[in-house]
Amino acid sequence: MPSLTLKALIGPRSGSFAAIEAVRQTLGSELCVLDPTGKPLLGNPISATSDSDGRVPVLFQEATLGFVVGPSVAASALASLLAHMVERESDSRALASEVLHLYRELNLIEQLSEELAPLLELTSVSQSALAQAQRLVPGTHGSIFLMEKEGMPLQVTASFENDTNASSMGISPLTPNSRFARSILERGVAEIVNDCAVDPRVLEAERSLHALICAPLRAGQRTVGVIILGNTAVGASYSAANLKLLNTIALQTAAAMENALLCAAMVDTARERAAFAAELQAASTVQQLLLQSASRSTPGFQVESVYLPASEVGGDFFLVSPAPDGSLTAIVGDVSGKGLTAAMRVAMILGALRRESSHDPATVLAGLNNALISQDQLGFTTACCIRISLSGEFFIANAGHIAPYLSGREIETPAALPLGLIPDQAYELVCGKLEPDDCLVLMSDGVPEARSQTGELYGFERLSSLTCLPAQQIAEVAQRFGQEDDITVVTLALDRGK
Amino acid sequence: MTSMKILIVDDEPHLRMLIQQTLEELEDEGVELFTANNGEEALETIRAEEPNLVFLDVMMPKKNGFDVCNAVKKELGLSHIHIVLLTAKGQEFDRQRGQQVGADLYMTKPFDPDALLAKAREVLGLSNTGL
Repeated sequence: MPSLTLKALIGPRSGSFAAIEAVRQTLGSELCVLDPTGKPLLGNPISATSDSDGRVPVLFQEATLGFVVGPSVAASALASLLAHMVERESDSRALASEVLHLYRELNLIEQLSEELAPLLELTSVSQSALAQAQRLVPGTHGSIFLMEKEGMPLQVTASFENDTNASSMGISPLTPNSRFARSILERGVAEIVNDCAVDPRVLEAERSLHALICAPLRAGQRTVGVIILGNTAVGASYSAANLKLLNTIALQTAAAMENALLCAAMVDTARERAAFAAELQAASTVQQLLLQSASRSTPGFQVESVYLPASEVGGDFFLVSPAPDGSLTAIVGDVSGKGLTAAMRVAMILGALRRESSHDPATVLAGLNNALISQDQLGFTTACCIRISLSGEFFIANAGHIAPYLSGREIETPAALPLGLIPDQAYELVCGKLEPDDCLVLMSDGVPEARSQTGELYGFERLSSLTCLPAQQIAEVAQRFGQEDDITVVTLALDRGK
Repeated sequence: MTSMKILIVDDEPHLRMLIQQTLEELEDEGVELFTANNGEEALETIRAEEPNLVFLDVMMPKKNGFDVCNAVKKELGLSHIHIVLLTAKGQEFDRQRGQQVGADLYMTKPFDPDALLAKAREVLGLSNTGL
């Protein structure tokens, strides 16, 4: 701030000029005001030369700002008035200087808000905040220590060192081990230490600092870290105003850090989802390949199969295979659970069925039951297995699965537990005859359990007429009604062309 | 050498003083500071002194900042005078009107002392000593 001069106070452009000139004229127009070098500022120095004239200094804080020359009494009066006005002007300037300082702080904090707003990365937020703290709060050293997750150690995310004494030999006295920083982290309240030599929280390594100031970074309900500054200058100390300022910076920084932490969590979640989606897609591809080969050529029979999973991967399975005697074995099933776990179980079941040498439905189901038990598979699996000879005689074994339909009529099968629950289960066989015009339908519960948007179930009553349709149409009707689960339909008939 | 002049116009005496104090260091570099406390007084000073730069408050009694700016730039033909309009923060500033009357820039109050000083140095072609 330029030093205060009489010229500035009583110059023609000054607001006080008219009033002071009026006072001078009243006291005596021969009065003259001079600057410290003797240059006239008001009045004519030639007219102030009589013996009774004095030269009275205008003093302010032990400095001579100028002189009033003229009759002693009047000159003293004007000098006193000018000294008083200088003092008032000085107070007013000091106040203005304080206001301008606050303006600067306000603008720097606003600037910090603008800088932090687009930052979504913890290090960038820390560096920006610490740079602003360095501008507003004096210090030779500064750091931001952050604890990314509860219980994790504090990490340095930003730091500066501006030590002209170089007493620290390039090693920052501020480290995440700081007991003072940790105490602020635990208490969540900003604090100053102006006598580092005696505060028990100050470590030996921090003794080169004369004063420390630290504020917590509170994001939501959690204190995620601290911003700490220290000063090695002899006699350095921090004020309440410094503390308030650092706290304001810390509050803004913590809000930005909360955003950055949320963003990081969202990115992690998105990555995990993308990885899971990729795994699911891979599983879906594998399952499609497995099921494409699930219906082998079976001379003497007309076989149609449709498989519509409700999501990327399904928990239904089917397999149609010819036996050496020309008969056909078909199985349709449904594993409990959803997603990748169910898909993995389906893959395991298809593998077990392909290794099965028997074509007897009861033996096939018993073997599969034991295979599932031996794999310690959680959950259960329902399945219905049928063997049809070239002449149309069939045998059915059912392990808790939806019963097959023969030309629109449900074939009653004995109640039995699903597979994978109790070892060494035996399954009863049901026999019957498939006539040349008959069609036998095996399906999964995705057909009767289709549900409309109004919540209505497709139900079992409509299955009599539905099961007279080709497999593709049965599946499509259920899907249009409202698919909620995987839909599998396999229709079997004797090949009338043979 | 023609001295460089800055005119500060604000009806609020404290604001005038704050701006004046912010710019006072330029006096050591030969810059003269003038003040006016309303639009009419501002126009008189501008006619008489032709300052290089005017910091002009928008909301003033008698003649507001837009009117003064328009008179300087359009009526007096003193378009070379750089005019910075000062508007209170939170007050909707009519940018279109500011452009229409030929203002060179607008700044919000409470102003940033460093930005104000830097602007003055830039307009007067003085080296920026920084903070």
